Amino acid sequence: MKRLLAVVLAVLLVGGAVVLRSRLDGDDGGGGGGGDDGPTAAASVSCVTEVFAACQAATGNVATQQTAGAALDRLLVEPLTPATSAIEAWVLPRYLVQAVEAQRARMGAPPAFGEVSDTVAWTEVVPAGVPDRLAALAASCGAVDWACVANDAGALWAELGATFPGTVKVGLDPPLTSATGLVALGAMTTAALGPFDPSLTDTQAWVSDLLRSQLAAAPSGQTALATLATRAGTYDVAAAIGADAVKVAANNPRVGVATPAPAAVLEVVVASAADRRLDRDLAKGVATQLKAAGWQDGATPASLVPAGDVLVALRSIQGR
Amino acid sequence: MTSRNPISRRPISRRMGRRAAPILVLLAVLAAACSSPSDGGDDASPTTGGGGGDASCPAVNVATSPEKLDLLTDLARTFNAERPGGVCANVSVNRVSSGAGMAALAKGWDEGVDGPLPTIWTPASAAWGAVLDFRLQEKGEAAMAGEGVPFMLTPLVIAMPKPMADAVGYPAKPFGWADLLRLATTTDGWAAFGHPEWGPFRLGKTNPNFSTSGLSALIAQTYAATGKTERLSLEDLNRPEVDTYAKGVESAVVHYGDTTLTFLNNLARADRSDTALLYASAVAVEEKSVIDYNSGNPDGVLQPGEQPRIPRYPLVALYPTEGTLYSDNPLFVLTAPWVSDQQRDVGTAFQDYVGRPENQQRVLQYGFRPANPEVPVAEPIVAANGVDPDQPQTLLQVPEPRVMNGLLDLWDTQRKGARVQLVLDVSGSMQEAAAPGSDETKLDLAKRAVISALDQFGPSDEVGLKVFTTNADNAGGDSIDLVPVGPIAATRDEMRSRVESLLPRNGTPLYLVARSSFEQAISGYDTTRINAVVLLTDGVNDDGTPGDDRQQLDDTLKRMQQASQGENSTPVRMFTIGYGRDADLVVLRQLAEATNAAAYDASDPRTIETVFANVISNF
Repeated sequence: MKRLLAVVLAVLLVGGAVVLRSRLDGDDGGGGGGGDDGPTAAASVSCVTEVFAACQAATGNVATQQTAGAALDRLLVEPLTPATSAIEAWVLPRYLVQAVEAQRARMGAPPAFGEVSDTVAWTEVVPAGVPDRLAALAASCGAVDWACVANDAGALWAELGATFPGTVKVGLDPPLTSATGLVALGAMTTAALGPFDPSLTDTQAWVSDLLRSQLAAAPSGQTALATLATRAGTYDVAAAIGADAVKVAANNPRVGVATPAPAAVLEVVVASAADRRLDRDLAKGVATQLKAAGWQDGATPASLVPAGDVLVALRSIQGR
Repeated sequence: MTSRNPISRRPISRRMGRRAAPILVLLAVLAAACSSPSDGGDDASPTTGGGGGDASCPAVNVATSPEKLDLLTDLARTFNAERPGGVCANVSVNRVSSGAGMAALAKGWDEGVDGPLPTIWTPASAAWGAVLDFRLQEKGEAAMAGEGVPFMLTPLVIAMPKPMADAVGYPAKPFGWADLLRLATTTDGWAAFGHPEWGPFRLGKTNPNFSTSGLSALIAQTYAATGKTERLSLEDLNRPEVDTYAKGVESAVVHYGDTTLTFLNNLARADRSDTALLYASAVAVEEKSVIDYNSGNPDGVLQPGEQPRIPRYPLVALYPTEGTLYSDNPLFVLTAPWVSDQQRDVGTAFQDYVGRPENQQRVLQYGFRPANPEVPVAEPIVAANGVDPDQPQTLLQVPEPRVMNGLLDLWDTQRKGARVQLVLDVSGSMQEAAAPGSDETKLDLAKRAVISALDQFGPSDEVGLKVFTTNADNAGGDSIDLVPVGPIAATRDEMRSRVESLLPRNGTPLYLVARSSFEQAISGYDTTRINAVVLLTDGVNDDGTPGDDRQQLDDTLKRMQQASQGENSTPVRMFTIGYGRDADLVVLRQLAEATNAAAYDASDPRTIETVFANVISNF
């Protein structure tokens, strides 16, 4: 009897150790995941600003934050293998993955990522605005779409038949660093010019003019949406993550939301570092958290946002 | 929380509140920094709040500008108790004015003078963080502030008594700095608007070297002069028309000072005697100050037992058509050598905590606008309180730090000139030790303060030096004019030499000298300048004939009030400094209030240098 108990105890101890090790390691083998939707134990997860809160919730507050611009710069220059990178998984826009791999291939560098998930969640980037300003733009343009925003940014309200003082002030998070700002800029450029070649001088001049002359710069420390909502007089319209804008508008009567068609879609994926397997639990956890925050899953609508390498080229125009 | 400050630099207000006196912070490179009670000024030395956390948890100090001390103290207390996200922390809050905090961080924080080393620094405006990092980088040091998280907001406005606002077309007609300039420079004054009884246009505006609202006003009026709303440049500042514009606005200034509360308290007092419209026509303040004033609480703090007094003439906030700036009260988690990773984590958690919607609701109670976009602007930011939640319509970009430096440098040449009589007590009690065990006397410290403050005057200012004590001239006279009022550029060295040689002597003929100094300033009154007397004394009236003291004081106060009020007044401001524990603060306050000036408390002699600098900030 004693021997039997000892065997049972030993089995339990070994089994417990295996379970414990598995938990500690996370889903190292990358197999299937499953489990609950609570925080995963994924280590060294880097997330872009737009999804950082969801990452924190999904990982139990162990993720690190980078702007999309900083992530892009890092991913373009570093040899990203487990031996050389502390980051094992990335949560970032799909366009950024496309742009990084395309550019690394052109440079003859090895791929940055091992596996890349399908889109775990998406949101529209939308024009949020002071409700009476959005109404005035709608009256002027027929509908507040990205072409309307691009074409009327910087115009005198009086020229649009409205009685508001000054010009149409459009807020954009810096495209150089922000995925939201870059996606909105891409959508505005496509809406105004149609499919465009960012290497053409005319395109660059148009984008430069839009950025330098017509779009006000956000105060540091706040998104354009937060600035719109809290600092009256700064912006009439601001490009914002749709899920965030809807949430703010639900609480703050100073903010309204337009839903342009075609849309500007920001898709988010989870990618593993090169030579690593995709952490599917992390992908599932982020998807769950983003959905809870108002993001969408499933098929994406038609989008004005150009391909990743085109977007990144647009970003470099901003940087000049 | 309102404990006596060991290094107090407070004006003596009726409330003797924590939001009283601001601090002088001369920016070595810029020339200065700023702060005021309503906008970040007040005491640089700490008043502590919060705490109460688990002593075994990491201690995290928050250095805050004064206007949000109460609020942050409450938030620290609940943060410590609730442990959001399991964060174990012992957060405490200390009051440090915006400008003083910036200067202390830039030069190297001295715990003995500046208070506990901060993990979080929250000045009134993000501009302070930019200036700090600029100054550190100029010295080859790493930036410390970086990007802060805004906590709560309030825009700069031009506050005007409602009858005057009505006269300029409020609310239908927008009002801006250009309109103010026209009012300031017209020879007709309010007569141009059908109200000759209001006299000339008089503007209350604080010193931008001390006060955030003063700095914001300077930036806004300069943008207005250029017609721009962003990218103000050094080239813009040097345009002749910008210089002319600035001098025009400054020409209407009543006096400057370190805190907007001086204006608001004086205005409230004048309102009670129905002379508010003759004291100031407009004051550049933060929106929340308009709400406080109209609620009968001009300094924003109701002491126990104090009842608000609703003003006869409420203020209305005019949001300049050319644009304005927000004070955004950022929380900077400092990247400083003394801040550990653990403290940084707590600091970040505290940033998140104060931004929660339920905590942001609380900022509304203080008249600020929430920084969390999910919390809408609401009561008390409503039209009934003289403010407009849908304003401002245009925001101005905060200039680069080097441009702000240039602005402050130029302001020294554009501000209204001053004609100031310095009147110093050299009675026998000034020979007492400045502090127990100190080798220095009160007079020693006062002399050093005066000499140091002389550099604050511009070369075109006219300054005189008088000392008083009984039998000052050995012929029965009460005072001696050591240096007659004249251009300080020519007399600065002489004045310094005279001050250095002062000796303590006899009694304190305070009332007689206050009166005679006032009359002397009236006789030399210059309409183009700020006319003032600065009176420093360490005692009560003691002229050897106590029987007529009461009458002397009453006559003096009556005469001062007569000269300071009315359409054709010749306002000479008497700024008084109560020096040492025996000074008659009550009488000094009466003298200051009779001339719509301010009284300052230097009851701890060690504070005199700072207090004197604050006083001179009025010019």
